[in-house]
Amino acid sequence: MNTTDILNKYLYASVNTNVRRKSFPYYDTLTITAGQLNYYFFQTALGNQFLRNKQLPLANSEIFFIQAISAYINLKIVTLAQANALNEILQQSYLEIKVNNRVVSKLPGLDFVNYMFSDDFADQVVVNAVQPRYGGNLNSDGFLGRKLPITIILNSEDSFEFRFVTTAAAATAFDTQTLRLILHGTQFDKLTSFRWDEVKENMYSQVPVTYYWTNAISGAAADTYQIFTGRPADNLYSKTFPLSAIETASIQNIEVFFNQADVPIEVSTEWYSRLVNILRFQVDDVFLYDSDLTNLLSVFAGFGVTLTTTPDLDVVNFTNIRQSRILPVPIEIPASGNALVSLIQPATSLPITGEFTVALRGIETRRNA
Amino acid sequence: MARVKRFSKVGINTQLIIDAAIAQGLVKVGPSLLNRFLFPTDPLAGEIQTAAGVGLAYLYGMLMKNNNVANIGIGIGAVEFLTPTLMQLTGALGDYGNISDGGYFNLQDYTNDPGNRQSVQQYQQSY
Repeated sequence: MNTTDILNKYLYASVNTNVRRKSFPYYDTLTITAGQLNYYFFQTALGNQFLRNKQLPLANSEIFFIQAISAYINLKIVTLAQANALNEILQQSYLEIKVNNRVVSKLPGLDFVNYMFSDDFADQVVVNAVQPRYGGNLNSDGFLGRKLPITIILNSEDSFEFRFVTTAAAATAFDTQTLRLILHGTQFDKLTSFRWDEVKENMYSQVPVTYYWTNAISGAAADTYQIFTGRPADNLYSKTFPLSAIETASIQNIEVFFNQADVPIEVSTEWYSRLVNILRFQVDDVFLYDSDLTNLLSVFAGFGVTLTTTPDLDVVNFTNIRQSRILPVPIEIPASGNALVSLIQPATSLPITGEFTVALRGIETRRNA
Repeated sequence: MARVKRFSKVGINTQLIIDAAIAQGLVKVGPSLLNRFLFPTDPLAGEIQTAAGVGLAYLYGMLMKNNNVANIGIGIGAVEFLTPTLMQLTGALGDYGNISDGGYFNLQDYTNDPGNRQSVQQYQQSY
């Protein structure tokens, strides 16, 4: 066997290939209903091609690899109340992906929900909404949604659950609007039948994760918020530290998001006030991150103002800034390690209330127990 | 004028094929045997496993005075080390599934090596 043969045999799946590979996004659409907090995607039978193109589980001839996830609500945000509700979708709602009864990922809306919004002029004008824009989790290549550093595997005939959980206020605010979930990925079609067991003799598995934590802002006084600790409501967090004895995590990306204050204020004031906050990450007494929020702070907020000239106009303008920092060196969190994460605000903070969300994105390695 | 022979004689080197098969077997199967008999509780995994296979092939080649097995073993081992790197370099996510002879996939997100960490070059495209 010469070098070319070895390369062809092992580096390219051109020999003995028994699958067809294709880019094939799956989508499903559900209608948000007041009072309903849980939404199960990819459970409905096919029928209307404009609503969905897949029902799970997969056929025995298919395997699907999720490479990115996105979603959108079919509504343009134009009021402060809608912005408030959208922030509940982003910060207090999540998508839980279960494969064979095991949670593979719990992602906040912040990661994958995209939204359209536009500034609004009310009262004595005919055209009220201007300058529509589109927002979401912005990646370095411009993709809006959650790209995954490693794929989530949907194997033939496995059982899956894509459950979106939201809040009562958001369900009421977006009542009768549709939410579409899109799984971007690659489908494998088996050309000859085979059984693939991905867990087989592997002792460890790796999954893409977002550790998120949503915390209420207490007020203007200096404060240190200890986050990722304790046990708040299920929709406000996805993980607490320390990790269990069979898990480690590698944090590759950080985003800190804050929302429209309960009593909205001019957003740039709020922005600069939050920018000087400090995010501190300690593992076993070593400070692994201790810096302000430059380049990782995000906001979606509106602010209303009434013009006093004639004609009188009620104007709502929106600010949407989405950014996250890709860490040049990942933060490694050891199993059972004493990890402490805190967000520190100075004494000069604005008297605003609302919530902030810290999202730590990366990869979790865990023993197959 | 003497006619130039265009094609050299192509012969099948049976011995070389057998040597390649032995080397292949040692690199692939050898570590499993080592795990079964020597390290049942803490089996070798990932790159260390490949290195053990290469070592076995080289050892066999040395003891049996068979250079082919030793050299081919090193060659196969080098490919095993290179594969994950090249998979990453191609950037094509569809290439993550690498089909082996047994009809199974070797996929990135199920690993036997807990030390397997992504570098910033690998993950910066994902955010």
